[in-house]
Amino acid sequence: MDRIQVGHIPSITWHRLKTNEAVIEKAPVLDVSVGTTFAELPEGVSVKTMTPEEAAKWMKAHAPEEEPEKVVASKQPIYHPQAFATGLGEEFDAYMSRSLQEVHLLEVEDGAQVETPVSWDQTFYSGNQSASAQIIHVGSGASLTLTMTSRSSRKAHGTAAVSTKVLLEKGAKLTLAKVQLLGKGYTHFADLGAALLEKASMQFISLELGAANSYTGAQAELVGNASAFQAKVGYIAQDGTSDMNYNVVQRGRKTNCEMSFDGVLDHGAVKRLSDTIDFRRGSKGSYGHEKENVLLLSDEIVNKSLPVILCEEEDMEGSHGATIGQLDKDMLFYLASRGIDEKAAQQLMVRARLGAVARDLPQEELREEVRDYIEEAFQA
Amino acid sequence: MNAVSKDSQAQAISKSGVNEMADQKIQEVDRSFYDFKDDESKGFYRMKEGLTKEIVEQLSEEKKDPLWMRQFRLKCLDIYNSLKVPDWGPSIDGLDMDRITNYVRSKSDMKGNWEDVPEEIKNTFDKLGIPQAERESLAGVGAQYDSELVYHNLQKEVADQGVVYIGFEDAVSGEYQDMVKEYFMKLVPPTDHKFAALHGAVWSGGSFVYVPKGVHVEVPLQSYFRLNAKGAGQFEHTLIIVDEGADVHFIEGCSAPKYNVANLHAGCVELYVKKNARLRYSTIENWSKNMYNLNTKRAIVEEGGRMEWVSGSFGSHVSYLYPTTILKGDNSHCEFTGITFAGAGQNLDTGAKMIHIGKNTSSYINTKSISKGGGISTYRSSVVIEKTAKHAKASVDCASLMLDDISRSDTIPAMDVRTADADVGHEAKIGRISDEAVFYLMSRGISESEARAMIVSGFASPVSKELPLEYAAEMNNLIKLEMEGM
Repeated sequence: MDRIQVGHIPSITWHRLKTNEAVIEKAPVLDVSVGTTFAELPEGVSVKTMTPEEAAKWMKAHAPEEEPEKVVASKQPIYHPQAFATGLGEEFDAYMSRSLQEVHLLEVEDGAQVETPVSWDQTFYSGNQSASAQIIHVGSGASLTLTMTSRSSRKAHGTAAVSTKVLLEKGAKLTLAKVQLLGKGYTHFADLGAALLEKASMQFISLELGAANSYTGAQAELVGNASAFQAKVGYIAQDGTSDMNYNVVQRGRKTNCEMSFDGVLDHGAVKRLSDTIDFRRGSKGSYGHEKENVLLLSDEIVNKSLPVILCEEEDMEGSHGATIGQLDKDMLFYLASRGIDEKAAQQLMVRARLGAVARDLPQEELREEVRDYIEEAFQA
Repeated sequence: MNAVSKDSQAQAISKSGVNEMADQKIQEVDRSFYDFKDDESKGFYRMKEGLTKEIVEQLSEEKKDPLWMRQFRLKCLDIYNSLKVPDWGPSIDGLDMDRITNYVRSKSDMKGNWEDVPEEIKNTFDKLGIPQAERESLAGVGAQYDSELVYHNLQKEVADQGVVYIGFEDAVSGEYQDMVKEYFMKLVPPTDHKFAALHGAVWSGGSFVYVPKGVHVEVPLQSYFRLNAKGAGQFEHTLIIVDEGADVHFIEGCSAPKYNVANLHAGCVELYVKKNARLRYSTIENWSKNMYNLNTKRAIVEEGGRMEWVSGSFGSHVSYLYPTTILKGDNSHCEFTGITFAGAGQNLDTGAKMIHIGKNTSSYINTKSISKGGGISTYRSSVVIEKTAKHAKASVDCASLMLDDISRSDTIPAMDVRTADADVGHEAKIGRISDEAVFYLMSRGISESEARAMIVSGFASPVSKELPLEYAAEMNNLIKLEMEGM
């Protein structure tokens, strides 16, 4: 059992608020590697299996070297010396590396325009402490839409830890959708690190709908000029923990970041979101926006939010906004006058809120599955 | 406006011409006006540098503390030694407590008559415009010079209403000692953080205010803190109790001349706003750029009470300043309006904290910050809605302006909501002066520098209009954003 810190924000705040990071006191040893098989891969796309050592070498050879961080006129912000930065951070990386047996490398050839979405589905089995790691490399001018779905049976329990590293070459485009539909006994870790070179763009869709405890994170390094990162995150937490860690570092000129978080908290859910937009000196002409909407359905919830903007560049525009609360009383009254009771109105709003995220999923079957999952979760 | 500052501005215009004047409009806050020093060799008493049990005991002896206070100081020293410096804010590595003198005073006792104040000290406060402000627009004034109050006065009409405004040390040993004992460092316990413990150990000077039930003090009370001594600390304690249905406005101003060694300000402000009472607490902080301003301010508001903070942070080398409000009573309300201007060599970490406990409580934080010339400005806040705070509403609005690309501006707002029955909203923006707005103004015949100055003035005006400029003459001099016509 390991004690690990997940999440790291470049600039921490009061410790007593417990918003800086999450700590898992006893993370189980991961002892099962999740296999992956693809029925058929589109032209221009290949997958190969590497040892963790080979994967580390590959990353070193291909990933852009991160600029040495400088501490700005004080001991803050704190920068973490992670070789390839991810949302959950170096301790999670180390935790994974202690048990990983293989890493999959999915590559898209330069210039390949992959029209058909690729599905990378993973099934987790009850009682297993499972790990899965992959590198996604999209070549210059290539484009790919990839969905990664984590499933288990509804009553299953265990650990599902997934680490994804993304490298987008010049002009590459990636839509990455991660959908988590695990059973209520799971602890889910989903980590993402992405480096985007010039004019590369990434749309990241994340739907965290199942599991008892979920720890997710993403760090996007907008290294190249005119690179862009968009994240749309939807989540349901009905008990247990929902912990999210998002950092976007804008280094290149005219980079663009948009992040939105839509969630529903019910019963005794404890949720923490730290999302940081970090404008580095030189990121002229860039903009970054983040927004959060949280629907609170129970008096037992705990909602913690830490939306941070760090800025050492003059020519930029950054903003964040958050609305946290329950359903509007006037709206409930209106719906009641139309014969829709409070419970039904809640379901309607949950569907609407998460449906707005699910709408961007590329496959109709997956959208259907997500709809059914939400329906079922709230009927229960 | 202070006569001295008017003259110096007039000279600046005549010497430099209009364009240069316009260039100065968004210069950093000019502190040269405050940068005069009194010769400490003339009858000042200075305690040994550093912080030891012996020094705390000696200080307690000097102050003729009652036994409970002496014991309290020593307990605080132990707590201070057991706590670490924060790891989340600006660096305070340049602050060496072994080189800070915790107590410095002139040989004058506190006076109730301005004419009796020693000449050098009187000159200092005259230059800052305090007596003039008192004559014109204040109900009462306290002036602290280094570690001790040198002057305290309250208008007779206000005193006749039962309002108490006295030096804090007089309150500790005088007729209000029971009240002091009940409230002193209860809201900010010494265990709160290292510098609260330091304050508890070496506090000196400050004010005690009590506004009786139902009394409305029509004109503000003011305390002014001046730290003249090189390498010294100032640790004044302010305790204000606004009883049920009462209403008062308290203004606090501070300044210091600049030295090449660190000075420290670790004051503590405890505010008790009783049922249906209202307190407005305005601060204009303009410490010099060698100052570490590690101040703690906290208010607790009872049922139906209203707390209003107006805070201008312009000075200091490093600031940690987050006035905290505990909305304990149902239907209590708090507003925080603040502006921070960080120029070269400054790292100002400011903001506010709101803790909602009572039902139907509401809070609104509205801040502006400006960074220029390599200055670092951080907006840091927390809004906590406890489970009991049904129907609570909280709103945070913070905006930052970057005036060049060598500065830094961060916003770090935290929210913690523990009931579904609450509405919390947050908005933050960071940006620079819009080219379109500058272009528009230039198309109306305004020079670029003037246009930029006008935009900065407009940015700051929602906050600056709340500043009690008309009450204390010094305050106009603090924002050299120059809001006057070209």
